[in-house]
Parts: sequence; C-alpha cells; structure tokens
Amino acid sequence: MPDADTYLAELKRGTPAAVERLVGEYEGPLFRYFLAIHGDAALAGDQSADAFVELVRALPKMRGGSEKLRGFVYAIAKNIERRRWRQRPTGEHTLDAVAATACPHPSPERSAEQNESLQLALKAIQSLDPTTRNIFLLRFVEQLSINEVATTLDLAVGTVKSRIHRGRQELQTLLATSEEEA
Amino acid sequence: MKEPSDELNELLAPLREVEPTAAMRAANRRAALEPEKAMPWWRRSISVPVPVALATAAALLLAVTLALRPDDRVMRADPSTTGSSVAVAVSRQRPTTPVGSWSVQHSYLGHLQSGAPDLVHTSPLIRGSS
Repeated sequence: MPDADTYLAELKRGTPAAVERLVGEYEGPLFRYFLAIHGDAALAGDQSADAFVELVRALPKMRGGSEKLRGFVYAIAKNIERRRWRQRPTGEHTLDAVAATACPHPSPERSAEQNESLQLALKAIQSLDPTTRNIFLLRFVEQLSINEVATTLDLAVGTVKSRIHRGRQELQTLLATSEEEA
Repeated sequence: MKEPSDELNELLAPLREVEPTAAMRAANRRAALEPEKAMPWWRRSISVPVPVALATAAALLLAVTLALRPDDRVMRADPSTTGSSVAVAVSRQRPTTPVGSWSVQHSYLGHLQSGAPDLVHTSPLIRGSS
C-alpha cells in the first residue's frame, strides 16, 4: 500500500495535512473509546486531545508499516486511560451534548429516548472486562473485521472470537435483566 | 427472530452515533498541530544536548555533595557568657600543615583569659616563633 505508507511517512514528519487527516480519522473512535470506559463526555474529550498530543510526539518513533497505525493509536489511548487520575474534566460537555451531536435538532422526546438508549449502551459495554470491551468497541461500534480487531489489539483471532462469544452471552443476560426491570 | 449480532448491533448503535462536539474537534486539531502549546507547562519538554545535560547533572551532584558533606566546624555554646548563650563557631580540627587557622569569635574579652585557646586566632608564624 504505497499510499498508506506515504501517509505514514508524512505523519512521522509531522506534515500538517497528514496530521489533520489523522485527527479526522481517529477523533470519533478515540472519543467513543474513552466514553465507553467511563461515560464522562468531558473527560473523554480531554483524553482525546491528550491522545493526539502523545500521538504526534510518538509517531516518529513508531515501528512497522501503515498496517500497525491503528494498533499504535489504540496503544496510546490505553496509556492515556491509565493516567486518568491526572485529568481534570472541564464539565463543559455533558452526555446530552454528545448525544445531541449525533442528531443536531432532536425533539425533546427523541432527545430523552436517545439519551436513554445511549445510557443503556454505555452500561452494557462498561459491564464487560477491559479486553472484551475493547473488542466489542472495535467490532460492533467501529465495525472492524475480526482480523482487524485482532491486529489492532495484538490478540489471536481465536481469542477475539471466544471473547465475542462470551461477551455476547454476558450482554444478553444484562439485556434480559434490564427488560425484566422495565 | 433477531440474530444475536443484530441484537448487539441494535444495543450498541447509540454509541456508534456519538461524535465529539465542535469544541472538542477544535481542541483535537489544536492539540495535534501544536502539541507543545496544548500541554500544561509542567508536562512540556525541551531537548537538551547530551554534553550539556551531563555537565548540568555533574554540577548538581557536586553541589549536593558539598552541601551535605559533614561540616568541620561545630556550633558551641559559650558557657562563660551570662544571659543568652552565644553560639560560637570553632575550628575543631587543626591542620597539620602550617596554614593559618581562623575562627569567628563572638565572646567577651574575659572569656579569652579564662582559657579558651581554641577561640584565639593562631597564626603558624606566631606558633612557630613561640
């Protein structure tokens, strides 16, 4: 993939156009990654910005070709999440605000419904262990193939499949419980 | 009947639609294009040539060693003074080589007569002639 390799080379040199492209590609996934862990939209926003700072600084030292880029981005995100205690959320962006971004002009009923289903999705994904949660995020939220998920998280394909199977059972139990409660 | 994957997709669909706000997007661009400015000052870094870094580290080490070295002067309270005691720095170890030894003296003249030879300036020239 000469185009992807050129893109990576430009990223390593810090070319503004390439950096802009990187931000465009990963700001959504990174934001959702952090949001899925703790559900705090303000903190997820701050962490995304921090992840880009780290990425730009670390990219020149990255080893491997363009196929490793996504894995590198998520490895940085994982490190940022480990340092969460350093973050001070500004409180500017609530979950309502990010839910409204998905649908810019919702009716009050639609907004409440949207927020409720987002809360349920977050509750579901937060109930999973960290590795399974990352697999679910990449597979069912970012819609990557099982092979891409395995490469990104540096896991065996078999591990990804078994985790999906187990996680699915856990989520079905959770769904059944919440339906009973409703 | 729904497939398990469909159910999962449906459950996680709201999360798929979530996007960062415009302010967050702007912050991301600022952070990526000017990473140094985006960081708080205490997390910023500067590049320093290795020789400069080594010299600075060596100077710092030397300064700390000198500061922590046991002092050869002791602070001694003068027993002959009345009222508040006056601390006097006295040279405890006399050099064996004929080098002038000096000490700071904060005492009354009477104290010198009552036998405190440590406190008197003794020049090697004077010692040699006596």
